[in-house]
Amino acid sequence: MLVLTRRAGESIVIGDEVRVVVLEVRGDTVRLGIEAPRSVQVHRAEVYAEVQAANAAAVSRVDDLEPVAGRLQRLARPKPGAGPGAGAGTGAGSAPGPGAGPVPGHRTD
Amino acid sequence: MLAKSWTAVGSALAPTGVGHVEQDGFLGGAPVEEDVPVITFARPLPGFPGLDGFLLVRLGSGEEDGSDADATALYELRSVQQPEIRFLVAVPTVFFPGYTVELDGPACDELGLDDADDALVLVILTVAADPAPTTANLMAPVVINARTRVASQVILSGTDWPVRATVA
Repeated sequence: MLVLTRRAGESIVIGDEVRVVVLEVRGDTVRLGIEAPRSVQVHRAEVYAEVQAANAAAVSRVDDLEPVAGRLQRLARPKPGAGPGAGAGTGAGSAPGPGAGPVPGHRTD
Repeated sequence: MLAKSWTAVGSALAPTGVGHVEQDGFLGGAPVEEDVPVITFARPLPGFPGLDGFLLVRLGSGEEDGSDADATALYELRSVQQPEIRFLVAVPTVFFPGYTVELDGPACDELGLDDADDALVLVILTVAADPAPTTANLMAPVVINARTRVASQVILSGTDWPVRATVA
């Protein structure tokens, strides 16, 4: 890894088209400005890694997606008169009742 | 901020807008035959380099309730090169009515989009084992140019849309 020391206001260039400017250094936080062609994607590394991981986790493990699609489709368009869970009649007998499952943390970052 | 930006609201986009070709039309209200659109990723999905061709297969059109197929919210996104790589994707506003996607200039350029009506927005769902909820990636939707069938997974940096939003 190439290591460079820069001060606020100084910059580095990567190739012919990418420039990274150190805008501000305060404590352990560095603000960077990046100039790059539109075709170059720039993301925070952890955001990109999270999308990568989410994609990997989303690959279907079942051969037939129709059953789960059908279940979700019914959720999306509840039928008149159908109470919560009423549309799950085709599910396995082990389906938990409303509120039975754990609710994992809802990430909002 | 870039001037060329706009907001695409998924609910305004008919799923058929992606370019289904109903070869034989409809018979008795049921689609008899249709082409499965092949979409091309301008940039492969993060984590899946080299996979740029995907089939967009409509799911649920054979539902027992016989509701109209245009209301279909769910699709299978299946790799052409590696058919075992399959994702469940959804029209997001069916589950998240307030969800909107704002594309910046570079994303529009990449997709060749200059009209919001040409954009089909889908989100990738993760179906976990039973007790865990199904989640949707609202942070990084798949946006498809319905006219050209060019797609890209757009990372909505700077927004609060979660990577794992609970669907059910």
